[in-house]
Amino acid sequence: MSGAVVIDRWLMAPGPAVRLAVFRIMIGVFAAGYLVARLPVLLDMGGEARVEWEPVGVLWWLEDPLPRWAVRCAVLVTIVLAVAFATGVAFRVCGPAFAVALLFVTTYRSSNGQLLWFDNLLVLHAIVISCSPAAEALRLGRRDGPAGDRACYGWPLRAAAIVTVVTYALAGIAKLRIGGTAWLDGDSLRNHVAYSATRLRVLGGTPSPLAEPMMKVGWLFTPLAVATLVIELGAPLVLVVPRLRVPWVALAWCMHAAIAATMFVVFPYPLALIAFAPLFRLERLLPAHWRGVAR
Amino acid sequence: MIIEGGEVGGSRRRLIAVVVGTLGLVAPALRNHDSFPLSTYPVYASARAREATFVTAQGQRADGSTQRLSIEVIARTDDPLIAASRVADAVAAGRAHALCIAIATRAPSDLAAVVVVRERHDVVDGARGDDSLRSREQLARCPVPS
Repeated sequence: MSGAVVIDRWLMAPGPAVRLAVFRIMIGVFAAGYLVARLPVLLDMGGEARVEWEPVGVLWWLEDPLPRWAVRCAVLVTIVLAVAFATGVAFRVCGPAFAVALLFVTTYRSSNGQLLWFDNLLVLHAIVISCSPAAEALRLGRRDGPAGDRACYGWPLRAAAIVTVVTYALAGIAKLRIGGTAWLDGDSLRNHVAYSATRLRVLGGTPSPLAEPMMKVGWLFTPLAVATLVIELGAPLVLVVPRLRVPWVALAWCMHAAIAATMFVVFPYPLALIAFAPLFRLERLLPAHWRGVAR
Repeated sequence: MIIEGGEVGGSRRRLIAVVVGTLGLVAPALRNHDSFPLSTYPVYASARAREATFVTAQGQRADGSTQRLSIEVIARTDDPLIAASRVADAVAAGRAHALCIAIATRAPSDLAAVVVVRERHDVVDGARGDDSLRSREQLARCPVPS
Protein backbone atom coordinates (compact mmCIF):
# COMPACT_ATOMS: atom_id res chain seq x y z
CA MET A 1 0.00 0.00 0.00
CA SER A 2 1.51 3.34 -1.00
CA GLY A 3 2.10 6.14 1.48
CA ALA A 4 -0.42 8.30 -0.33
CA VAL A 5 -3.15 5.71 0.16
CA VAL A 6 -2.28 5.27 3.83
CA ILE A 7 -2.46 9.03 4.40
CA ASP A 8 -5.70 9.24 2.45
CA ARG A 9 -7.30 6.44 4.44
CA TRP A 10 -6.26 8.10 7.69
CA LEU A 11 -7.47 11.53 6.61
CA MET A 12 -10.75 10.27 5.19
CA ALA A 13 -11.60 7.77 7.92
CA PRO A 14 -15.30 8.27 8.67
CA GLY A 15 -16.33 10.14 11.80
CA PRO A 16 -19.63 11.04 13.44
CA ALA A 17 -21.29 14.36 12.68
CA VAL A 18 -21.70 15.07 16.37
CA ARG A 19 -17.93 14.98 17.00
CA LEU A 20 -17.36 17.68 14.41
CA ALA A 21 -20.33 19.63 15.75
CA VAL A 22 -18.94 19.60 19.29
CA PHE A 23 -15.67 21.07 18.02
CA ARG A 24 -17.62 23.73 16.13
CA ILE A 25 -19.46 24.65 19.33
CA MET A 26 -16.19 24.74 21.28
CA ILE A 27 -14.61 27.14 18.80
CA GLY A 28 -17.68 29.39 18.63
CA VAL A 29 -18.19 29.57 22.40
CA PHE A 30 -14.50 30.11 23.06
CA ALA A 31 -14.18 32.80 20.40
CA ALA A 32 -17.26 34.66 21.63
CA GLY A 33 -16.06 34.53 25.24
CA TYR A 34 -12.50 35.47 24.30
CA LEU A 35 -13.57 38.43 22.19
CA VAL A 36 -15.91 39.67 24.92
CA ALA A 37 -13.18 39.27 27.55
CA ARG A 38 -10.75 41.26 25.37
CA LEU A 39 -13.39 43.79 24.34
CA PRO A 40 -11.73 46.84 25.97
CA VAL A 41 -8.51 46.15 24.05
CA LEU A 42 -10.30 45.31 20.80
CA LEU A 43 -12.59 48.35 20.93
CA ASP A 44 -9.51 50.51 21.37
CA MET A 45 -8.25 49.41 17.96
CA GLY A 46 -8.66 51.60 14.90
CA GLY A 47 -7.52 55.12 14.17
CA GLU A 48 -3.94 54.27 15.08
CA ALA A 49 -1.12 56.67 14.32
CA ARG A 50 0.19 56.06 10.82
CA VAL A 51 3.69 55.37 12.16
CA GLU A 52 2.40 52.53 14.38
CA TRP A 53 0.65 50.80 11.49
CA GLU A 54 2.42 47.75 10.05
CA PRO A 55 -0.17 45.65 8.22
CA VAL A 56 0.48 41.90 8.08
CA GLY A 57 -1.12 38.81 6.60
CA VAL A 58 -4.34 39.34 4.70
CA LEU A 59 -4.24 43.06 5.53
CA TRP A 60 -0.85 43.60 3.86
CA TRP A 61 -2.52 45.84 1.29
CA LEU A 62 -4.15 48.17 3.82
CA GLU A 63 -1.93 51.23 3.71
CA ASP A 64 -3.68 53.22 6.42
CA PRO A 65 -5.34 52.16 9.67
CA LEU A 66 -9.11 52.01 9.57
CA PRO A 67 -11.26 54.47 11.53
CA ARG A 68 -12.14 53.29 15.01
CA TRP A 69 -15.86 52.98 14.30
CA ALA A 70 -15.16 50.56 11.44
CA VAL A 71 -12.96 48.30 13.55
CA ARG A 72 -15.45 48.42 16.42
CA CYS A 73 -18.22 47.35 14.06
CA ALA A 74 -16.06 44.47 12.84
CA VAL A 75 -15.36 43.34 16.41
CA LEU A 76 -19.02 43.38 17.37
CA VAL A 77 -20.07 41.61 14.17
CA THR A 78 -17.42 38.95 14.84
CA ILE A 79 -18.86 38.31 18.30
CA VAL A 80 -22.34 37.91 16.85
CA LEU A 81 -21.00 35.59 14.16
CA ALA A 82 -19.12 33.55 16.79
CA VAL A 83 -22.42 32.94 18.55
CA ALA A 84 -24.04 31.99 15.24
CA PHE A 85 -21.08 29.69 14.53
CA ALA A 86 -21.59 27.97 17.87
CA THR A 87 -25.32 27.52 17.35
CA GLY A 88 -24.86 26.30 13.79
CA VAL A 89 -27.57 28.62 12.47
CA ALA A 90 -27.24 29.33 8.72
CA PHE A 91 -23.81 27.75 8.90
CA ARG A 92 -23.13 27.79 5.17
CA VAL A 93 -23.12 31.58 5.42
CA CYS A 94 -22.30 32.25 9.06
CA GLY A 95 -19.48 29.69 9.23
CA PRO A 96 -17.23 31.21 6.55
CA ALA A 97 -18.34 34.73 7.53
CA PHE A 98 -17.19 34.10 11.10
CA ALA A 99 -13.84 32.73 9.94
CA VAL A 100 -13.26 35.76 7.72
CA ALA A 101 -14.33 38.20 10.43
CA LEU A 102 -12.15 36.53 13.06
CA LEU A 103 -9.23 36.51 10.64
CA PHE A 104 -9.76 40.23 10.03
CA VAL A 105 -10.00 41.25 13.70
CA THR A 106 -7.03 39.18 14.86
CA THR A 107 -4.90 40.20 11.88
CA TYR A 108 -5.74 43.85 12.56
CA ARG A 109 -4.63 43.37 16.15
CA SER A 110 -1.29 42.01 14.94
CA SER A 111 -0.86 44.92 12.52
CA ASN A 112 0.13 47.46 15.16
CA GLY A 113 3.85 46.80 15.05
CA GLN A 114 3.90 43.64 17.12
CA LEU A 115 2.94 40.22 15.80
CA LEU A 116 1.03 38.29 18.42
CA TRP A 117 0.96 34.49 18.57
CA PHE A 118 -2.02 33.95 20.84
CA ASP A 119 -4.73 33.61 18.22
CA ASN A 120 -3.08 31.72 15.34
CA LEU A 121 -4.46 28.27 16.15
CA LEU A 122 -7.95 29.57 16.89
CA VAL A 123 -8.10 31.34 13.55
CA LEU A 124 -6.71 28.41 11.57
CA HIS A 125 -9.12 25.99 13.22
CA ALA A 126 -12.03 28.34 12.56
CA ILE A 127 -11.07 28.49 8.88
CA VAL A 128 -10.86 24.70 8.58
CA ILE A 129 -14.17 24.06 10.36
CA SER A 130 -15.97 26.84 8.50
CA CYS A 131 -15.28 24.95 5.27
CA SER A 132 -16.82 21.73 6.56
CA PRO A 133 -20.36 20.44 7.16
CA ALA A 134 -19.96 21.09 10.88
CA ALA A 135 -23.54 22.10 11.58
CA GLU A 136 -25.33 18.94 10.49
CA ALA A 137 -25.66 17.93 14.13
CA LEU A 138 -26.26 19.84 17.36
CA ARG A 139 -27.72 22.78 15.50
CA LEU A 140 -30.09 25.22 17.13
CA GLY A 141 -33.65 24.45 16.07
CA ARG A 142 -32.85 20.98 14.81
CA ARG A 143 -32.36 18.12 17.21
CA ASP A 144 -31.81 15.28 14.81
CA GLY A 145 -28.67 14.75 12.82
CA PRO A 146 -27.39 12.43 10.15
CA ALA A 147 -26.94 8.82 11.11
CA GLY A 148 -23.70 6.94 10.68
CA ASP A 149 -20.11 7.96 10.31
CA ARG A 150 -18.99 9.72 7.15
CA ALA A 151 -15.67 10.87 5.79
CA CYS A 152 -16.90 14.45 5.44
CA TYR A 153 -17.23 14.65 9.24
CA GLY A 154 -13.86 13.06 9.84
CA TRP A 155 -11.43 15.00 7.67
CA PRO A 156 -12.02 18.46 9.16
CA LEU A 157 -11.00 17.25 12.62
CA ARG A 158 -7.94 15.50 11.24
CA ALA A 159 -7.00 18.63 9.32
CA ALA A 160 -7.41 20.65 12.51
CA ALA A 161 -5.25 18.11 14.35
CA ILE A 162 -2.56 18.47 11.67
CA VAL A 163 -2.67 22.25 12.14
CA THR A 164 -2.21 21.86 15.90
CA VAL A 165 0.76 19.50 15.77
CA VAL A 166 2.49 21.34 12.91
CA THR A 167 2.17 24.58 14.87
CA TYR A 168 3.94 23.06 17.87
CA ALA A 169 6.58 21.43 15.69
CA LEU A 170 7.28 24.79 14.03
CA ALA A 171 7.73 26.41 17.43
CA GLY A 172 10.30 23.73 18.29
CA ILE A 173 12.07 24.14 14.97
CA ALA A 174 12.21 27.91 15.50
CA LYS A 175 14.01 27.42 18.81
CA LEU A 176 16.68 25.27 17.18
CA ARG A 177 16.92 27.54 14.13
CA ILE A 178 17.09 30.83 16.03
CA GLY A 179 18.45 29.87 19.42
CA GLY A 180 20.49 26.85 18.32
CA THR A 181 21.76 24.33 20.82
CA ALA A 182 22.32 27.21 23.27
CA TRP A 183 18.59 27.09 23.87
CA LEU A 184 19.00 23.68 25.48
CA ASP A 185 21.40 24.63 28.27
CA GLY A 186 18.63 26.18 30.37
CA ASP A 187 20.23 29.61 30.71
CA SER A 188 18.25 30.90 27.77
CA LEU A 189 14.93 29.71 29.19
CA ARG A 190 15.84 31.14 32.61
CA ASN A 191 16.70 34.46 30.96
CA HIS A 192 13.38 34.46 29.07
CA VAL A 193 11.48 34.02 32.34
CA ALA A 194 13.66 36.67 33.99
CA TYR A 195 13.31 38.99 30.98
CA SER A 196 9.50 38.82 31.15
CA ALA A 197 9.55 39.63 34.87
CA THR A 198 12.01 42.51 34.47
CA ARG A 199 10.17 43.86 31.44
CA LEU A 200 6.94 43.98 33.42
CA ARG A 201 8.70 45.69 36.31
CA VAL A 202 10.35 48.26 34.02
CA LEU A 203 7.17 48.93 32.06
CA GLY A 204 5.02 49.52 35.12
CA GLY A 205 3.42 46.09 35.40
CA THR A 206 3.59 43.50 38.15
CA PRO A 207 5.74 40.44 37.49
CA SER A 208 4.72 36.94 38.49
CA PRO A 209 5.50 36.15 42.13
CA LEU A 210 6.84 32.79 40.89
CA ALA A 211 9.62 34.40 38.85
CA GLU A 212 11.75 35.22 41.90
CA PRO A 213 11.74 31.73 43.48
CA MET A 214 12.31 30.20 40.04
CA MET A 215 15.60 32.10 39.79
CA LYS A 216 16.82 30.31 42.92
CA VAL A 217 16.46 26.88 41.31
CA GLY A 218 18.45 27.58 38.17
CA TRP A 219 19.24 23.90 37.60
CA LEU A 220 15.54 23.35 36.86
CA PHE A 221 15.68 25.27 33.59
CA THR A 222 17.83 22.76 31.70
CA PRO A 223 15.34 19.87 32.03
CA LEU A 224 12.50 22.31 31.37
CA ALA A 225 14.19 23.51 28.16
CA VAL A 226 14.75 19.93 27.00
CA ALA A 227 11.16 19.03 27.89
CA THR A 228 9.86 22.03 25.95
CA LEU A 229 11.69 20.95 22.81
CA VAL A 230 10.59 17.32 23.21
CA ILE A 231 6.96 18.41 23.58
CA GLU A 232 7.10 20.71 20.56
CA LEU A 233 9.17 18.61 18.18
CA GLY A 234 7.40 15.42 19.26
CA ALA A 235 3.92 16.81 18.54
CA PRO A 236 3.48 15.10 15.14
CA LEU A 237 3.92 11.70 16.80
CA VAL A 238 0.49 11.97 18.39
CA LEU A 239 -1.09 11.69 14.95
CA VAL A 240 0.41 8.24 14.40
CA VAL A 241 0.57 6.93 17.98
CA PRO A 242 -2.86 7.57 19.52
CA ARG A 243 -1.84 6.42 23.00
CA LEU A 244 0.58 9.37 23.18
CA ARG A 245 -2.26 11.88 22.86
CA VAL A 246 -3.27 12.14 26.51
CA PRO A 247 0.29 12.39 27.91
CA TRP A 248 1.32 14.82 25.17
CA VAL A 249 -1.69 17.07 25.72
CA ALA A 250 -1.08 16.95 29.48
CA LEU A 251 2.55 17.98 29.00
CA ALA A 252 1.72 20.69 26.46
CA TRP A 253 -0.96 22.07 28.77
CA CYS A 254 1.48 22.06 31.69
CA MET A 255 3.98 23.94 29.52
CA HIS A 256 1.43 26.67 28.78
CA ALA A 257 0.33 26.75 32.43
CA ALA A 258 3.96 27.19 33.49
CA ILE A 259 4.43 30.02 30.97
CA ALA A 260 1.29 31.72 32.29
CA ALA A 261 2.29 31.25 35.92
CA THR A 262 5.90 32.38 35.64
CA MET A 263 5.78 34.93 32.84
CA PHE A 264 2.16 36.14 32.89
CA VAL A 265 1.97 35.33 29.18
CA VAL A 266 -1.32 33.52 28.57
CA PHE A 267 -2.14 31.41 25.54
CA PRO A 268 -5.86 31.01 26.23
CA TYR A 269 -6.77 28.66 23.38
CA PRO A 270 -4.45 25.79 24.37
CA LEU A 271 -4.99 26.50 28.07
CA ALA A 272 -8.71 25.97 27.47
CA LEU A 273 -7.68 22.65 25.84
CA ILE A 274 -9.62 23.48 22.66
CA ALA A 275 -6.41 23.55 20.62
CA PHE A 276 -6.05 19.85 21.37
CA ALA A 277 -9.72 18.90 21.06
CA PRO A 278 -9.48 17.59 17.45
CA LEU A 279 -7.32 14.74 18.76
CA PHE A 280 -10.16 13.27 20.82
CA ARG A 281 -13.60 11.69 20.52
CA LEU A 282 -15.44 14.80 21.56
CA GLU A 283 -18.91 13.21 21.42
CA ARG A 284 -18.03 11.52 24.71
CA LEU A 285 -18.39 14.90 26.39
CA LEU A 286 -22.12 14.79 25.67
CA PRO A 287 -24.83 12.96 27.60
CA ALA A 288 -25.62 9.59 26.01
CA HIS A 289 -29.08 10.65 24.82
CA TRP A 290 -27.58 13.63 22.96
CA ARG A 291 -25.13 11.36 21.22
CA GLY A 292 -27.99 9.10 20.27
CA VAL A 293 -30.08 11.93 18.92
CA ALA A 294 -27.28 13.30 16.88
CA ARG A 295 -26.27 10.02 15.38
CA MET B 1 -18.28 27.11 0.79
CA ILE B 2 -18.50 23.60 2.17
CA ILE B 3 -15.81 21.13 1.21
CA GLU B 4 -17.46 17.73 1.25
CA GLY B 5 -14.34 15.89 0.18
CA GLY B 6 -15.56 12.51 1.33
CA GLU B 7 -17.35 10.51 -1.25
CA VAL B 8 -16.31 12.60 -4.24
CA GLY B 9 -12.88 13.13 -5.60
CA GLY B 10 -9.95 10.79 -5.70
CA SER B 11 -7.34 10.13 -3.08
CA ARG B 12 -4.73 11.89 -5.19
CA ARG B 13 -6.69 15.12 -5.16
CA ARG B 14 -7.15 14.93 -1.41
CA LEU B 15 -3.50 14.12 -0.92
CA ILE B 16 -2.57 17.19 -2.95
CA ALA B 17 -4.88 19.27 -0.75
CA VAL B 18 -3.19 17.92 2.39
CA VAL B 19 0.28 18.56 0.99
CA VAL B 20 -0.65 22.09 -0.14
CA GLY B 21 -2.27 22.86 3.21
CA THR B 22 0.68 21.55 5.19
CA LEU B 23 3.11 23.42 2.94
CA GLY B 24 1.09 26.56 3.59
CA LEU B 25 1.52 26.03 7.32
CA VAL B 26 5.28 25.52 7.08
CA ALA B 27 5.84 28.12 4.33
CA PRO B 28 6.68 30.93 6.81
CA ALA B 29 9.42 28.73 8.31
CA LEU B 30 10.75 27.84 4.86
CA ARG B 31 10.78 31.53 3.86
CA ASN B 32 11.85 32.67 7.34
CA HIS B 33 9.07 35.24 7.23
CA ASP B 34 6.78 35.63 10.20
CA SER B 35 3.21 36.74 9.63
CA PHE B 36 -0.31 36.10 10.87
CA PRO B 37 -1.97 33.61 11.14
CA LEU B 38 0.73 31.64 9.33
CA SER B 39 3.81 32.05 11.47
CA THR B 40 7.30 30.81 12.21
CA TYR B 41 6.32 30.85 15.92
CA PRO B 42 9.56 32.47 17.06
CA VAL B 43 8.20 33.30 20.52
CA TYR B 44 10.91 32.64 23.15
CA ALA B 45 13.04 31.05 20.41
CA SER B 46 16.09 33.29 20.79
CA ALA B 47 19.06 32.38 22.97
CA ARG B 48 18.48 35.30 25.30
CA ALA B 49 21.40 36.89 27.11
CA ARG B 50 21.36 37.74 30.80
CA GLU B 51 21.54 41.48 30.15
CA ALA B 52 18.87 43.25 28.14
CA THR B 53 17.96 46.77 27.10
CA PHE B 54 14.52 48.23 27.70
CA VAL B 55 12.99 51.50 26.60
CA THR B 56 10.42 52.82 29.02
CA ALA B 57 9.08 55.97 30.65
CA GLN B 58 9.04 57.18 34.22
CA GLY B 59 7.39 60.02 36.06
CA GLN B 60 9.36 62.75 37.82
CA ARG B 61 8.05 64.63 40.83
CA ALA B 62 8.84 68.29 41.47
CA ASP B 63 11.60 67.31 43.91
CA GLY B 64 13.32 65.26 41.20
CA SER B 65 12.39 61.84 42.61
CA THR B 66 11.05 59.27 40.17
CA GLN B 67 7.74 57.45 40.13
CA ARG B 68 6.81 54.37 38.10
CA LEU B 69 4.07 54.78 35.56
CA SER B 70 1.51 52.09 34.82
CA ILE B 71 1.74 50.07 31.63
CA GLU B 72 -1.54 51.62 30.45
CA VAL B 73 -0.14 55.15 30.89
CA ILE B 74 3.06 54.23 29.09
CA ALA B 75 1.56 52.44 26.10
CA ARG B 76 -2.26 52.40 26.19
CA THR B 77 -2.33 48.62 26.59
CA ASP B 78 -2.25 45.95 29.27
CA ASP B 79 -0.04 43.70 27.15
CA PRO B 80 3.68 44.01 27.94
CA LEU B 81 4.63 42.63 24.53
CA ILE B 82 2.70 45.41 22.79
CA ALA B 83 3.88 48.05 25.28
CA ALA B 84 7.55 47.15 24.83
CA SER B 85 7.13 47.15 21.06
CA ARG B 86 5.34 50.53 20.98
CA VAL B 87 7.89 52.43 23.02
CA ALA B 88 10.92 50.76 21.41
CA ASP B 89 9.55 51.35 17.90
CA ALA B 90 8.79 55.00 18.67
CA VAL B 91 12.32 55.62 19.94
CA ALA B 92 13.87 53.70 17.06
CA ALA B 93 11.91 55.92 14.67
CA GLY B 94 13.30 59.07 16.30
CA ARG B 95 10.01 59.94 18.00
CA ALA B 96 11.15 59.81 21.62
CA HIS B 97 9.95 63.36 22.32
CA ALA B 98 6.56 62.79 20.70
CA LEU B 99 6.21 59.59 22.74
CA CYS B 100 7.13 61.52 25.88
CA ILE B 101 4.45 64.14 25.21
CA ALA B 102 1.83 61.48 24.54
CA ILE B 103 2.66 59.71 27.80
CA ALA B 104 2.66 63.00 29.70
CA THR B 105 -0.94 63.65 28.65
CA ARG B 106 -1.93 60.36 30.30
CA ALA B 107 0.31 60.69 33.36
CA PRO B 108 -1.01 61.58 36.85
CA SER B 109 -1.27 65.34 37.20
CA ASP B 110 0.74 65.38 40.46
CA LEU B 111 3.87 64.60 38.45
CA ALA B 112 6.07 67.39 37.17
CA ALA B 113 7.51 65.63 34.14
CA VAL B 114 7.87 62.42 32.20
CA VAL B 115 11.20 61.06 31.04
CA VAL B 116 11.72 58.46 28.34
CA VAL B 117 14.75 56.34 29.15
CA ARG B 118 16.77 53.50 27.72
CA GLU B 119 17.91 51.18 30.50
CA ARG B 120 20.16 48.15 30.56
CA HIS B 121 19.28 45.53 33.17
CA ASP B 122 20.58 42.23 34.44
CA VAL B 123 17.27 40.44 34.02
CA VAL B 124 18.04 37.64 36.49
CA ASP B 125 18.75 40.21 39.19
CA GLY B 126 15.61 42.03 38.08
CA ALA B 127 13.49 38.91 38.45
CA ARG B 128 14.98 38.33 41.91
CA GLY B 129 13.92 41.82 42.90
CA ASP B 130 17.55 42.92 43.33
CA ASP B 131 19.10 46.07 41.91
CA SER B 132 19.34 45.18 38.23
CA LEU B 133 20.05 48.51 36.58
CA ARG B 134 23.39 48.56 34.76
CA SER B 135 23.04 51.79 32.78
CA ARG B 136 20.47 54.46 31.98
CA GLU B 137 20.25 56.97 29.18
CA GLN B 138 17.64 59.72 29.15
CA LEU B 139 16.15 60.07 25.67
CA ALA B 140 13.49 62.73 26.24
CA ARG B 141 11.96 64.82 29.00
CA CYS B 142 8.69 66.70 28.86
CA PRO B 143 6.44 68.44 31.41
CA VAL B 144 3.15 66.95 32.54
CA PRO B 145 0.34 69.32 31.54
CA SER B 146 -1.32 70.87 34.56
